[in-house]
Amino acid sequence: MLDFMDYIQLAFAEGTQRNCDNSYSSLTATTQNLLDFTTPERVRIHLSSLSTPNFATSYTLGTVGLIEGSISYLYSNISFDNTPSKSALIPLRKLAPGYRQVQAPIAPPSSKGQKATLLHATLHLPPPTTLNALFLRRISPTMQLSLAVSSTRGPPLSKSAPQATLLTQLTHDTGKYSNEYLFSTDNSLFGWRGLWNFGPDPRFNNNAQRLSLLSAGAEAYYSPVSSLIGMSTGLRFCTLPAATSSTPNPNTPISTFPYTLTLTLTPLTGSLSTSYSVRASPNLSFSSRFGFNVYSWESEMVAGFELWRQSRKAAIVDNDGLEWARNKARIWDIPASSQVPEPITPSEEETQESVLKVRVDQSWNVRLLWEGRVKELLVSAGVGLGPSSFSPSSYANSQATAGAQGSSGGPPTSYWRGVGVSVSYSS
Amino acid sequence: MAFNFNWSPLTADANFYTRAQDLLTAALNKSPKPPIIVDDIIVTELNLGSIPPELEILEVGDLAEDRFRGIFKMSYSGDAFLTLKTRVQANPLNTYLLTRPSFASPLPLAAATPLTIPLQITLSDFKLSGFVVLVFSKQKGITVVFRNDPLESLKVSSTFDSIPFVRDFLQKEIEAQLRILFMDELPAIIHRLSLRLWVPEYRDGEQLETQDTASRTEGPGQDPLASPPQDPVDALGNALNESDIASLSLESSVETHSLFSQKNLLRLAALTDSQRTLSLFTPSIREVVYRAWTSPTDSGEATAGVISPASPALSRTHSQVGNISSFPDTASMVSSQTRSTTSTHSFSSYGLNTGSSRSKVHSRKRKKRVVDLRRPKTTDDAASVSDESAFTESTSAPSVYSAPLPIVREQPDDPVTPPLSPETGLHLPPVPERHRLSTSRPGIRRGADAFVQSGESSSSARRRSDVDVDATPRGTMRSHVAMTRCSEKPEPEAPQQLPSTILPFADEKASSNLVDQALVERLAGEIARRMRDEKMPGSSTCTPFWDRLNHDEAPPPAYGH
Repeated sequence: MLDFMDYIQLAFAEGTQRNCDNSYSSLTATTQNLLDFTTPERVRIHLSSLSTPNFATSYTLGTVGLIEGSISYLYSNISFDNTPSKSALIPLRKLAPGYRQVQAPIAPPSSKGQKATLLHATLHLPPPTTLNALFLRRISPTMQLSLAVSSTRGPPLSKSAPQATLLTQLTHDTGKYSNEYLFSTDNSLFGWRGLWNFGPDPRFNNNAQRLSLLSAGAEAYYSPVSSLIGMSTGLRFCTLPAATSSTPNPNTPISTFPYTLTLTLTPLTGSLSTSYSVRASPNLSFSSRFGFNVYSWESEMVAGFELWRQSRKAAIVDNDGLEWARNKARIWDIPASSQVPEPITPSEEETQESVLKVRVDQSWNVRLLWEGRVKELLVSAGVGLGPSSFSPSSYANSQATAGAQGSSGGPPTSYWRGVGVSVSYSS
Repeated sequence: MAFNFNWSPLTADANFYTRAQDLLTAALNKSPKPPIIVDDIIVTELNLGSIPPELEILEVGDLAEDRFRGIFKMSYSGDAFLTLKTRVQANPLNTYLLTRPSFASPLPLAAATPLTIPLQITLSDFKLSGFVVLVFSKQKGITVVFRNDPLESLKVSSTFDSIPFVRDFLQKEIEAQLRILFMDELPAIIHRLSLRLWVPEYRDGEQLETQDTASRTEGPGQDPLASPPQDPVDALGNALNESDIASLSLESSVETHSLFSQKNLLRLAALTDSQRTLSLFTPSIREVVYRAWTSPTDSGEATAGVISPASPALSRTHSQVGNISSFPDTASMVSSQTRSTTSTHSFSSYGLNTGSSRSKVHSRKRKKRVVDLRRPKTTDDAASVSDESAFTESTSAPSVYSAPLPIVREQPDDPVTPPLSPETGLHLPPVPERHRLSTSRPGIRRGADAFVQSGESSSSARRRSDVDVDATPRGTMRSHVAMTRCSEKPEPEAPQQLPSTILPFADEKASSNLVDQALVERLAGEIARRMRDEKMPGSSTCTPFWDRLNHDEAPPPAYGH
């Protein structure tokens, strides 16, 4: 489940009309949401509030061995008036990202007078204190500057890691293509990410309704200090909302349901990975991913799904016992009155949603996550099961553990990997 | 002067290599590994080779049979080799990101995909040269410390020898790691290996550590004095079996001491050390005779005329002395025995004991008792005592020996506070082991029966007073003084400035020397005391501890005299 601060930052991106999908880093967002989700560790309580339309605070209390917590502040010069901030009203689909429906690329908005700015800081409090700070600024409708600072008082995780890191990121998004330039003071790492959308340029002809989108991208990193090199390329094909809209275009029936195909290649380390995600119904999505390394011949298979449950509150149906009579009368009245009885569509506020996510990989690591609303609280409960441990970061997940598992072949020590509950309340 | 340095026997031991491999594996995986290594480092092969290192003695600081300290100049260019197996992360970006906080990291999409590669490294052609400080002590094992960085060069051959960049990197990394290993880890490994080899206490300690939690849940902590020594060793450090223990006699104190558990000796050493200082604090080791307590009773025994054999203080002294000489069951066993013997009315027979053989038997028996009590179903015990019938009759030995104690003398192992509650005093009456000695004399027994009837009431009364006296806190010296005051006034004697650990022997000598001349006095005093007890039974039975305290305002004796 997204943090309240992440939710506000998402609202900031929406408010500044930035297309988050049009970036190489979100090429496999659907797969990551469905397969690489993290389950909460132990017990965590979040208290957040959007005290003014421009200012948000958040407090976190958790138990990881000992009590630990964090304090967050966020300020933005654009107001979040239209953003629901009460935990009872925040749409759960935004907080629990699942299958990501890619929107058709649009031209950048016209220039506005005010440059949107966001300031955000988080202080993690147990004695090795860590301070995270973020500065976001829309320099122009196509450019965004982001500065992220992470500073810790504790011992670094390795000798080469410094105590503080500044990451500068400049994003240039034109709709047709997007470029990101990165620089990190840690080992003076340079990075570049680029994404190219095939098809007509949205800046010039905006009238044609597109049904699918093919994107290709690449990324490269290089550090002249430590001779660190990394690169990857990727390809994504996905259906757009128009393809599966309620009034399908009879000319080009691509599919009856949305789906996404991705292929990523890492030439330096010889790994390739394909994924296929499908949204079978508005409430059910499946995803699977296969990975293979041509050097080490290690393979990976992960599958998962998410299931949304909509439990409606008692729908108000005025049952006067005469419905059958009207139906009878309607049969005879078809030619006469062609009025169609409108279907009872409950409004959004009446739905009580919850989502269940399950993923399993080839070494039977299972993760279960349930997210939903209990009264006014947003609850996220997760269980990790598996013979080998999960690494929390998404890059080192199942391949490394699968390799270690295969080599050692030891008996499974404990099948429980972690249970956690996270409770959030915001106002 | 010559040293014989044996290289091959080290390797001849079949288990040596597996043990060393285990220790090396544990040592390599103990410290947090660099993030590039994603699996455990396993030592698959280890060979010390056949060429020993050359050692040049620079300085010998200390030399004895069981200890050695010296400085060597070592140079080695042998054929030892070591093979390690692990898995490494071949994607540098992955390890880079794993060690960074995720907030300000670039979060690449797929460029950090891990690539783990099994890696086998063989280290060979070690060239070492350096100054080694070697300290050997039989108790503390071997300590080897390198004065400088001994590693000159080594050859690293790995799976990546075909890639020069990786090979150079590995060579550099492993050399750095090995330097740490030689300077920090290797001394610890050698020390642990040698401890396991020479010090059985360490071995037991390792086992005890595992059993510790289990035993802690089972009940109160085990008393090192309350059970036979768990690790009786002879002078060479080998464990003794039951018959060996039995064959040991107490004639020579050296062998006795080698029967001690090292833990108990350490406790006693702490006790004696504490009395050499000005500190008033005395670690309260339970069932131990403090010098401050023993001296009045000792003197009382030395004068020997007035102390009853059933005197609780004296019997306590004996039982505790017996405990000190590392036979912890003495007290309980003897006391249980005493209970049965007193039921046979042999109690008062002591006063009738005549004969010059008494002191001889007495001293002999006291030596023997240690052996006797060690072995419950003894046979030479009966043989050593001249008259078996009385012995077996009076003591009803086998049943008593095997009988479980009605009340286990378990006390909280609190080092400071003495057991103050009267409930703890409900233990068995302490130990007049001399009862047993006396009952093992048939002449006494037979003569006793006539006297028993008259002494019946007194004996029972005394028994009750025994229990009562024992109810006084044993940790307080005041109670002992009160006790002796109550029963009879001991005449002050020349202080025996002896450490408590050798009390058995000093005590023995003193009594055997003095008993002959004091025998008549003792007899007279015994009879007189008996009559006095009969006259005022109420005072001896019902006088509680506090009453006695009231008319005994004398401060407790200080340490020593």
